[in-house]
Amino acid sequence: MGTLKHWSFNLALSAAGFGVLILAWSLAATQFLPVQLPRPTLVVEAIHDNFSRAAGLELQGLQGGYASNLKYTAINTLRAFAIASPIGFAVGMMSARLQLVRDISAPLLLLFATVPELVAAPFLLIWFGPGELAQGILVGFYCFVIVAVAAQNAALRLAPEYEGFAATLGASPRRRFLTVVLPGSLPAVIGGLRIALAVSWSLQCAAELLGSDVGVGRVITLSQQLGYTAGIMAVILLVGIVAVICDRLLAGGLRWAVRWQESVA
Amino acid sequence: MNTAPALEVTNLTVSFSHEKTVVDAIEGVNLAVDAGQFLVVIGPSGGGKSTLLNAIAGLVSPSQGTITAHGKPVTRPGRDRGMVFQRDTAFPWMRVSDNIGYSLRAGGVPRKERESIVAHYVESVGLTGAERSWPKQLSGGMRKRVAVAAAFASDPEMLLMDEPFGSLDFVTKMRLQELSLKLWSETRKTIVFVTHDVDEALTLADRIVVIAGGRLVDDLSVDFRRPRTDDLRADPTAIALRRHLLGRLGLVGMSAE
Repeated sequence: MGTLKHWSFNLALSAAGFGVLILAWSLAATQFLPVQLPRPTLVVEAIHDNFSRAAGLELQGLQGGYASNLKYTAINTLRAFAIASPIGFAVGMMSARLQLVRDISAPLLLLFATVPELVAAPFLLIWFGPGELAQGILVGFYCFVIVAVAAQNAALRLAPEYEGFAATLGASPRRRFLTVVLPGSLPAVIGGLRIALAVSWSLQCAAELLGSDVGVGRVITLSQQLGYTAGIMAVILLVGIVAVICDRLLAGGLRWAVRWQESVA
Repeated sequence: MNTAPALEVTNLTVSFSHEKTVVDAIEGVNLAVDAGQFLVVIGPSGGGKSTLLNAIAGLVSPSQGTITAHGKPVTRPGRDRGMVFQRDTAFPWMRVSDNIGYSLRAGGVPRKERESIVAHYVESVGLTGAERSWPKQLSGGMRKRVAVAAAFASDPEMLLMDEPFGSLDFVTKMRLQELSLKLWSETRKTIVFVTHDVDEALTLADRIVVIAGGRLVDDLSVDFRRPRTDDLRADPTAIALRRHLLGRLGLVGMSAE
């Protein structure tokens, strides 16, 4: 009951936050032209009118509506994240365990982690074209780097006594890795995984903005050409909602995986 | 009859590099421990006690000298030398029963047998009812019980305990000392116990060695009758031994009370 009350209170606070935002937005919109800052109702209208078919953008060459383009963006984002983050996790763990791998990978990870994604994006688009492959490589690569760095740090920071204890209990190096290092490092990797997912959304959209025939980025580009600001904001809102839902699902799954870390129930 | 000691440390030196200088944490230590003996290693902080224990466990390599446990040279950690650390080492991501049965699973012990051994040690250390708890749901003392039970459940020939109760409150510490003695008297395992607490040493030990400045500087037999009660504090021999040990720790002036 206490938990339900707490949850309801938090929900009410979140709703109040949104309420304040929409009120402030509505008030601000009265001071600008719709092309500069449309009213919230215009944005809702844009979603309603273009959700399954964006007739106004069809002449510009867009296929489908917001929903199908959002689906394309979401699938590409989540696929790249799902493929790259386990690889990053594995490489980060290996580099923490093996000095040779760490010596080779640490400077490269540091280098790539510091190169801004939008600087690398044009090169990937030149090499692989403006399609799914280039977008997937861009998103996946940065996902990989973020998760690998997080996993390496997490494994290096794990108290050595845990592994020592496991060793004196007769665990082989492989068992120690699987039953001590992996689960023990997970809490510190969670932040990296969530950041990687958030970055994946922005990179996928950015890659689509730089050149794509489909996706949310394409919708934004075409809407911008038409001065259809309400459409841009509608798509941004939709991406934000889907990204938040994905983050909540990921966070929930990860919270379950590290439920042992929570305080007394 | 095999009269070889359970543990033999010969001319052991362990050195660490620190800022371009080599520091000997342990230097030329010789020690033989009989099977079933409760040996307490005492000494000031930074004196080399934990390094000695880690070397016996196989967690650090000797720079010189040899360590033999039950006739076999020590080259790496092994299930024959269980260890309880000062820090909490009950795996937070495993429930109590999985922690206690960890070594059994690693050793491929069949499930039924494993469950029976775990149940025995859960009861022995007073954790009945907490088998499915996560370590985070337990007190510090209970978590330490989990680590002690896990170490005993692995059935090592020797148990190494590195200031295991150092961070606990007085009452919990006394209870865990009692528990250690109970498990020791049931199993008669060789125990090497590191502490800097003289009273703890006098309560537990058959024998006390003092390590200071990386060297073994004293080796004393402790023959008081067991169980050792509070009356021991009034025993003139115990008082003299306590003063002697405090002197070795450089605290003799503080023992006047």
